[in-house]
Amino acid sequence: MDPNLLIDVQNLRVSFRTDEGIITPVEHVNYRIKREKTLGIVGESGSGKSVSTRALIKLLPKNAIVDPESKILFNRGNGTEPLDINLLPAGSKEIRKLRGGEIAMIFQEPMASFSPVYTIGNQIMEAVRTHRLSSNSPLAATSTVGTHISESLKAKYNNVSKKEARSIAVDMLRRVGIANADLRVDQYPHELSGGMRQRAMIAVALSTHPSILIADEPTTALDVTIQAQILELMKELQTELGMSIIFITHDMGVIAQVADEIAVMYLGTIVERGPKEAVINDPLHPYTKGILRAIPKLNNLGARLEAVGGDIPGPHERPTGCPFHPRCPQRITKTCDKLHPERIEKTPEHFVRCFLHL
Amino acid sequence: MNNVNLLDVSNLKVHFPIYLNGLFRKVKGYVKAVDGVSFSLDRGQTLGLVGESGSGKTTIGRAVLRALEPTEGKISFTADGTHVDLATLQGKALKQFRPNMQLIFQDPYASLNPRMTVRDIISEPLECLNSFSRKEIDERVREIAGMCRLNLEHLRRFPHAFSGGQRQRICIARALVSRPKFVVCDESVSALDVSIQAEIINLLMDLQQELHLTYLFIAHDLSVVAHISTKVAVMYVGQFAELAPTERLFFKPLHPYTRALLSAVPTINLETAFEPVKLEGDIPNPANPPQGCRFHTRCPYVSSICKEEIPQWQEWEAEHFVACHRVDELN
Repeated sequence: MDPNLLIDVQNLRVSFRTDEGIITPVEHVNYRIKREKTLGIVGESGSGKSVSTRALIKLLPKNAIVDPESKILFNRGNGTEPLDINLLPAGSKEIRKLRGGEIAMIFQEPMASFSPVYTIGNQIMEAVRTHRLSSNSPLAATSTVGTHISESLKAKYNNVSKKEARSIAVDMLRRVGIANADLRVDQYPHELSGGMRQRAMIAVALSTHPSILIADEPTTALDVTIQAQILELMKELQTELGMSIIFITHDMGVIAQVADEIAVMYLGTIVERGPKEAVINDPLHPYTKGILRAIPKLNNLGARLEAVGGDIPGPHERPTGCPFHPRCPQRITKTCDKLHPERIEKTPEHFVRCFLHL
Repeated sequence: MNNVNLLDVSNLKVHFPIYLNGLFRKVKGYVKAVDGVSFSLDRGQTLGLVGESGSGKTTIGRAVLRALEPTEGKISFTADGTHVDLATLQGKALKQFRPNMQLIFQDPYASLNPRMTVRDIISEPLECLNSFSRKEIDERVREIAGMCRLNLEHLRRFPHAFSGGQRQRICIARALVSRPKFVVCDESVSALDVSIQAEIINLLMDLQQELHLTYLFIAHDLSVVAHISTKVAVMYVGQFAELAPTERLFFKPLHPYTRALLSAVPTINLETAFEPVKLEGDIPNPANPPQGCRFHTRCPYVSSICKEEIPQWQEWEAEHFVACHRVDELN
């Protein structure tokens, strides 16, 4: 595996068992994340953005089935074999080490992702003590995961002391730009404002020094001025800690500002993926073109917007063939409604799934 | 019909009391959600209202519709040549006046009763008036449904059968069935996906042309507001910071807060660098707003006068209002 790649997802397919039968909200999904880069996933509600990233840490509901053929390769680097996360059982020790440790996640609603009955500091300390080795541990230098080390040895040296964890917590809060961090650390989530809570959430996620951060609509619930603060903070911390980010959003503007690479999802498949500049300035898929045109722009005030016609189909009425064909202005009859388009590499690193580009 | 004043709001205040716990529930203070706001709106115009959460946008909308009792101020509404002061209208007179103004909500999933058919939902505002026969109601429901691009087949179904965009069209039909003159759109397109949002914005603009409607359009998405509004007001902690015709506000903003807000909007334009003006700290609590200019705690150009005196609401250029002490120096 290319040492520059951190995660390589191949042919991801996730289905759910429901009362009305099996639905497959995510299918034919391939993406890769380079080290220290940001992949932006953009799509409308129900397009499978969250499901396809939650599969990385097996954070899916019980009725989910991830196709065993799918591969989620996690490349730890330093010469080790890549790990296929899909092969790990959902409740196993290994996955629990990864989740919150090497792969961290922040969610849209910061109030809902904190426990209201513990202080902010308590919740950062919990993450630190679960996932980080003490700085005076002899194992700290060798590996943060330590799968090859015996359990008894780990129990002896692993734990960060409470005092140490607390100072890490204060330090993290300071780093995410919270004033009076040593006071804030003992406050409860309800005592912080929305923007501050999202900063604290980032502090929890980054306190374990993850190699990848999954940010699922982290700024959607925030106001624009606060959103700008959080986006800048995430960029700063990314260079400082050298991590990769998967940034999920439905806002094209946000994705254009934060991502290095953009993946556009529609009804469970990535219809287009490529470098930011290519996708925005030179979109290939009719859906990408459609949503870029549908955004109101300041240099064109008052003109009619070009809407993408039709409605997004529900999960049970998924069209056959290309998922976008019922709304596509350029559909080819007897092709688009019958066959599923293959992935085509139009220019280097710029992929599209569309028959128009064969 | 142009340039006919429809709505003239002056010095509108809405204060919510905060009660002490205990036997007598003594009032210990007020949340000044809206604190002295003035604007006027002509027929066929759209006033866009932007601002961060908690700045009082929704409260203004509700006070104008008299879903809330204003604490102070005048709301004069001109309909069919008669003036009424909505702030003092009460009882029967208010009820008779209500069909003239309507509200479209944000979330089309939460604002439709799942147990009513679409026809019943749309006709309810008329049923409430008790002055139409069944036949008239049916006719008007069909007419407005057609205008909102719903077909007759849809009228017999229940809301669950519809997608988000279709549901929002049902909400719009319900709001317009009583032939209002003034409609408050409170974040009406914010919950929709971009591909659907564009369609609803187009529909709202078409209906405005056809029915000569006046909108108060509340949203936090600045590019949507810019697109639909004739003029735009920027709110900050219960007061207006700036009010101007759309193009002036977006291309020649005067107030430091407006500039910061505009710079913070991420755009898909990759050629211009994204450099948001850094605003320190958080939005102040409207129960305890800062002394002087309310923006002084976060303003990059703060001076000593800003901390003490409340800036005047002045007309800096024609139609362009701003409340800032240093507007002359900064522009």
